[in-house]
Amino acid sequence: MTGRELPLVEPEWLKERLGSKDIKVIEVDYDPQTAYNIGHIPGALLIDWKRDLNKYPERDIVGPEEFESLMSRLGISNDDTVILYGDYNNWFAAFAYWIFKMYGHDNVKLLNGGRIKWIELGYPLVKEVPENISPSKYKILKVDLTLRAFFLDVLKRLRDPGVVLVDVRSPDEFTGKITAPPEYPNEAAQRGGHIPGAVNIPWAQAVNKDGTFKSIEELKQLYESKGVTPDKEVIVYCRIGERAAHTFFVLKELLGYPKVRVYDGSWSEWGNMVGAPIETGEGG
Amino acid sequence: MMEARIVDFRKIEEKCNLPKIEALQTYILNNARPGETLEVIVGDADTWYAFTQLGETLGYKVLESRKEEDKYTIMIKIE
Repeated sequence: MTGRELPLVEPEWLKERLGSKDIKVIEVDYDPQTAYNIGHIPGALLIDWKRDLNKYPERDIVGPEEFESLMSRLGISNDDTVILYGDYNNWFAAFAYWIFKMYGHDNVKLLNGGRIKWIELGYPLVKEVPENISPSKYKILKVDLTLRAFFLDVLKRLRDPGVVLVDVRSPDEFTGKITAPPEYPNEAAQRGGHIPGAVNIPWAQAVNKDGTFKSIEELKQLYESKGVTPDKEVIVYCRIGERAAHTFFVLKELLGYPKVRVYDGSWSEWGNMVGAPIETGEGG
Repeated sequence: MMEARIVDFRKIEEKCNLPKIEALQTYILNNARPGETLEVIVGDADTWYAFTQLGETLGYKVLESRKEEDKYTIMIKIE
């Protein structure tokens, strides 16, 4: 074990604390229609990833003011313990986690296994939405932009031996065989491949079949064997940033790597950017 | 034993676990006939739960659902 308190709670732990006023449980969904709306953890609030955490038409994450408004609407106070979980293997909950950390809300944790594990255990789900939420006056006290990488941050670090790029997409996306998962043809980039020098460690290698994270030892072995070590600055990316946020959580929060950033522009930006260098094939 | 066409969604999960519900909807629209019975197989509890709850929305009736060692099976009848 690491000796650190990990920002991860087990379903059993949460089940015993349902109804506690000290804990705010939030489901973060890509698609609430097929998740939160058909059944969620009793008392859980909803963050709709597309509506609440993204800005359109800017194609950006919400800024500090929008985040404050969201927290206030949900009745979250600065000192609340927030437990995040969600659909699709916690990808979007991890993305929300990354935003919470960027906007200085340190007391935030992920529910191990997300919806998959909770349902597998047969734990309760309800359709009732919490009512009479008293809005809070949430105020961001610090912003940590070191957790985020932009296009130019990545471009400037290409081939820097102190930096490792981790591409967490599927091998077919990484090699350039496909430009997006086949079910999402409208999210394809102009070009297939990966950022030069990146190593491919698909996000799913970090989890068990039930969606829970693998052991710390297994995770260490997985990343260190590919040259992703804590002495380096790590930049993670995928297609739109949500799978990268999942791996960010593993590296930064479970393994305690000091410098990890999400390049949320990811392949949907890099693969379309005029003049951005790419590699195809297995790389390395 | 009921005759049913088997639709196994675990292959999609290996590639990308996002769109199984859209995939089922598309499959029903393109391939299934009213009155037909499908045996839908998924690998995770979240998708299984969604499939058991979304029959009215997607146009099917759930006849049976069960968990086996490493998969979930839902028998549905297209309406």
